[in-house]
Amino acid sequence: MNDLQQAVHLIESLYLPQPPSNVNEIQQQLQAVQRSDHGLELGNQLLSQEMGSPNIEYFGALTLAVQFHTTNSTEILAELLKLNMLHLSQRARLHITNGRQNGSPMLVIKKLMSNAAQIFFRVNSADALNGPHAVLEWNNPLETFCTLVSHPALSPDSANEVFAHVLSEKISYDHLISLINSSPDFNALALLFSEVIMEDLKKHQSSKVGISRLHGVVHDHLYISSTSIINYNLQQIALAFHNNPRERAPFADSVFQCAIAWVNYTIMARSKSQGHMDLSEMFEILIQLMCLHDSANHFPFSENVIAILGEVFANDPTMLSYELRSNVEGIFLGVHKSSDNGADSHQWMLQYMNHLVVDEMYEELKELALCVVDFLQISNLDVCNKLFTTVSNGNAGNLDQYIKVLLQMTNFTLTPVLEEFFSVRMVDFWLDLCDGYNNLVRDTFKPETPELAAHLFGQVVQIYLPKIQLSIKQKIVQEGEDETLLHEFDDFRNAVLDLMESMWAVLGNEKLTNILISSIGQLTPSSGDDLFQIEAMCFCLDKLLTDMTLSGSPVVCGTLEANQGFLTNVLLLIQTGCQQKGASNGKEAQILSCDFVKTGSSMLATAADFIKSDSHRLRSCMDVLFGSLETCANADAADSKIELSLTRCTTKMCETSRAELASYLPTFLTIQKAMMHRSSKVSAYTKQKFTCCVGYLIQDCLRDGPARQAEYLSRVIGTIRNEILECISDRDHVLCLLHCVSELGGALAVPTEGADDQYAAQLVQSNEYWVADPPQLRATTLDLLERVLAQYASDSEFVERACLIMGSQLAATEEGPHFLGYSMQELLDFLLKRNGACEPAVALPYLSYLLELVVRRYASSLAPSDLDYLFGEFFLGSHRAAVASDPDLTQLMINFVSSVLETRPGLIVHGERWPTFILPEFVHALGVKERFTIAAVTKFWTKVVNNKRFSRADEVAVRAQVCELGPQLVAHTLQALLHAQRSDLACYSDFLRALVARYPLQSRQWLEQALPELAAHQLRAHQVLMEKLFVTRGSRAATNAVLEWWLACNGLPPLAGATAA
Amino acid sequence: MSSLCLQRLQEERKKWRKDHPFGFYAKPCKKADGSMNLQKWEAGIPGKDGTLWKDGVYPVTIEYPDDYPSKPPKVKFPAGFYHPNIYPSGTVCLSILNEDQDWRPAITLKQIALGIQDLLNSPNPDSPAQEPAWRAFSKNKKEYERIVIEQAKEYTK
Repeated sequence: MNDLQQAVHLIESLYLPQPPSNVNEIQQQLQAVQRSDHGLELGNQLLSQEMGSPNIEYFGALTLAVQFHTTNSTEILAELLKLNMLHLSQRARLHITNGRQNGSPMLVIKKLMSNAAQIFFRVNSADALNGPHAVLEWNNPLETFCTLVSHPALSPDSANEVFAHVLSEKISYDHLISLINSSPDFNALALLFSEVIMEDLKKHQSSKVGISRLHGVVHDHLYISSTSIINYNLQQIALAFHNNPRERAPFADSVFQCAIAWVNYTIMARSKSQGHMDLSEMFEILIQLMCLHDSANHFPFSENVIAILGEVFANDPTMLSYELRSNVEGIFLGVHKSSDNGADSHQWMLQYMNHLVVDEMYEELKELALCVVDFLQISNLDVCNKLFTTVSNGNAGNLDQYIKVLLQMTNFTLTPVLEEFFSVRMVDFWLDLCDGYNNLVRDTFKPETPELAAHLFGQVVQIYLPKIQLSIKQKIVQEGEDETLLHEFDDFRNAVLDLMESMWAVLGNEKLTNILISSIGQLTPSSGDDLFQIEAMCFCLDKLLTDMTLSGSPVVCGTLEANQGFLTNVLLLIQTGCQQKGASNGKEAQILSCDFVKTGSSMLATAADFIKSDSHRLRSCMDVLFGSLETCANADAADSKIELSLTRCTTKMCETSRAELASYLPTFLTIQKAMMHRSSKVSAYTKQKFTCCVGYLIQDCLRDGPARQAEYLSRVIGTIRNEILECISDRDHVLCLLHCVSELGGALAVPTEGADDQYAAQLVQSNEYWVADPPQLRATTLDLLERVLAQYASDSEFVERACLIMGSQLAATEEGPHFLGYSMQELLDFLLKRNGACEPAVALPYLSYLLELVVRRYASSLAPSDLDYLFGEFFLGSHRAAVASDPDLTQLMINFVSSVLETRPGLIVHGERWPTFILPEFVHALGVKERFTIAAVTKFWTKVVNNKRFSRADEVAVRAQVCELGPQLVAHTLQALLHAQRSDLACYSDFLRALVARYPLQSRQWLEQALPELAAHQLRAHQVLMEKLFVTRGSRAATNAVLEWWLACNGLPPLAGATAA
Repeated sequence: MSSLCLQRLQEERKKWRKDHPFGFYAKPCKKADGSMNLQKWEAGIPGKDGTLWKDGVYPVTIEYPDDYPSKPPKVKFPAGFYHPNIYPSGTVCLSILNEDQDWRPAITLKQIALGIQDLLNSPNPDSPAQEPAWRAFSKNKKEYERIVIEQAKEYTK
């Protein structure tokens, strides 16, 4: 395509309201030209079109950018620089002369400015010093721009001549100011150009490294001219305000945008460049502008300046000198923490805040809060030292006043989150101050420090408690705000919890925990507000008590005891939540109900240790929990959430208060029975956990002898059995009921703690009882499982659940009497029966799990021939083909053998299967590809060569077998290793390390024999591997040696710093 | 702890407190004497809405090595946490936490937390770290989903 008109036509067609159908083809065609050798010419021509449309002009500027990104030639770069700057300055001149109406659109000018910035970066990058662009020197695009725009003789004919001098031309300050003063549009364009360069430089920084030279050039040239323009303009804004306070200078926005671009760049560049870019003069004028306001409380620049200062304080507060920060301190707080200087300008702050509050400008108020609190945090450590230590002596009066202002700021009168953010952000300040205090060396304290700290943080507690009340959440919902504010409020509450935790270290139980308890206890709620207070205090108290062992805190328990109203009020939270949770009460009520129940139930669970010490108290709690659970029917999300909270709390109460709740067992049983019905609306989770609760209480009946346990257990199992048999075709319901049985089995495990003499005395008797099992519970349960499995044998979830139930006692941490304590024979019969009828892929993993438990528990009762039999039945026999073809089942088999090697290796190594099947097959299994199977088989072989559980006889037998198998074993391992994935190498190297350590002489021979056969051309790599394997001891070193060998043999580059193999 | 590590961790703490995604929490642990241990954090990762994980906030510990940020922190869920890319010890297997893979010193705590949240519902079956969850995820989605939902109840929001 060499016809310009054709190109123009195609470009215009791209921008038609309805582009042609071959738009993709056109784009590809144009892109090809943009990237070609004709691109530069095309770009220039498009930008030179006298009556070119904005689309054509923009496409021209874009074409220059494409050329810039595709070229690596100095000549083209120099040409691009010239053309781009000439087109830019021509358009700028037109813009200045004719105004916006007749000139190019700003979009085109900005694109040309951005092109110029990119060229400037490349010319001054470190690579350019030694690269092809070294001949180009261009230090200050802004001055070049000003020179070209103001050049009297710039025309297409004189362009080359003018440009030859202009790159290195410098402009004096006075001349620069006179140029921007010559026209407001000139001034605006100069500011815009400076801003565009800074914005692009920030983006450039994130993708490039080693641009410190560029920062140096910016510091030495562009910084000087840009800050001159910015500062001059800021002064002019102030001057214009003094002349006419009612009219905002039209160029103000451009100046602020340019200033913030420079501030952001300086924040980023300060840590990366050597030159110090001081913006103090700019900040000084900005602060003056911030405080300007007229008699009608009109603050024209405050918001702009606060945005800039906010950036500085959040990112690099040291950009402001100490004097300037001190000035700001006076303005923001009206008091200096370390000097008596007056702070008259604070009046501005008060008026500005008042203006924002009165006019409900909450976003602006939030910006101010962010800025002020970020500023305060700069000197947090200083405040901490001055307040609490003798290290730093401040003026006590000023400091008191300073803290008073901070407390007032925290106690801002508006609604947190919704209207004000001072209290929200001040959490961070107080948290830092508190952590600072907790970290101070006690020797440096002033005598009055502990009292002062307690007084100060006590006030902070009092300020925050009302601010985190759910009444605020209610207000947010009522206002119909989006969920973001609700989330922000929840975050605020959680942040206050962290603060409470830190303040507890200062205030202790006496001044925080106990006060919260008594405050909750002393309230007699007569309104919603009282409930909100109770909830907020409970919310905090729960956090403080969570990490405390109540039984070891008699003072806290005493306080709880003394405040009878405490528990009543906590229960009221749950009751109120449950009463209000209905959908008919609206979304607001549902949200608050969930919070009320969550806080209340969590508080109860945390205080369970205290609650159980009094039967009346415990009864009140359980009555409320039962009553509340009764109201739940999984009607909606809120209802389900509340049910979950209540169930968790009930479970915790039952686990903690097994003995104390004994009298409740009949009630529990009745409720549990009702829950087991298919018609019950409670969730499956609640059914299971409630059965677990019943189990906890029955477990404790052991004190009264096993017969009582048996009586209750028979009832529970009977209920479940009847229900299952009645609804056997309802899969989910039956599965849920099986879950209930396994929860019951889990809860019946003997607890590790809490055994007293009476309890211990019953253990032996109980053991005997359950071995005999007079009520036939084992048989009943087994029969139930068989009946269920008769229908669901091919459903893995049922097989899994059945195996878990059968193994309930075997899986318990502590051995002890258990109604599901099946004998070895019973378990094996069950397993063999299931095995005979199972689909291996579905059931074998669970059967194998149970079989492992059986072998582990009854290892001493088994003989090698028994294990041979079991191994044959489960992994060979009818399942042989399935096990051999499915790597997961192969792995299952290997894991089973490994578990026997870890339990009683003699059982397997002296069996017939060991030499005839296991050893030869597992050698072949070394070549598997699946990660977990590799891990299993290498672990097996590691256990074979190095097993501390081997008896002397085991060791002798295995040693002879390994010596015989050695060459084959090593050859297979190396073969598998060579073709393994890099991430699997560690498995093989662990085995090799063990082999080399245990069989040093033999393994050297085996390796020497196997390695050359594997990769004959890598002799050096083999030699290095051998040398390293035989001297390394650690796992990591062995893995590295193997990795180096693997890299070399696979033709991959060696590790950095590794010896070339 | 190097001054670079300390400085960066203080910066991370400040940043996190000022801006963290909703529902997440992260804070340095306290030492026995009540002072702050900036090298060990406890955090909570909420499951994303609309996923199997939505009902839980999953606790993790984040341990920063002395040579952080050159080296990545180690993030651990409770041992036995059910997820294909979480090791049995609880250690998270995620490329941005691996110094040999995608770790970069500029990665922030917020990015790590969001990365882990993303991992919860988008496991990478090519990088298995534990067998039960990986196997179920690859071969028995129904079972996988059931266990994930059960696990979420243990860590209810």
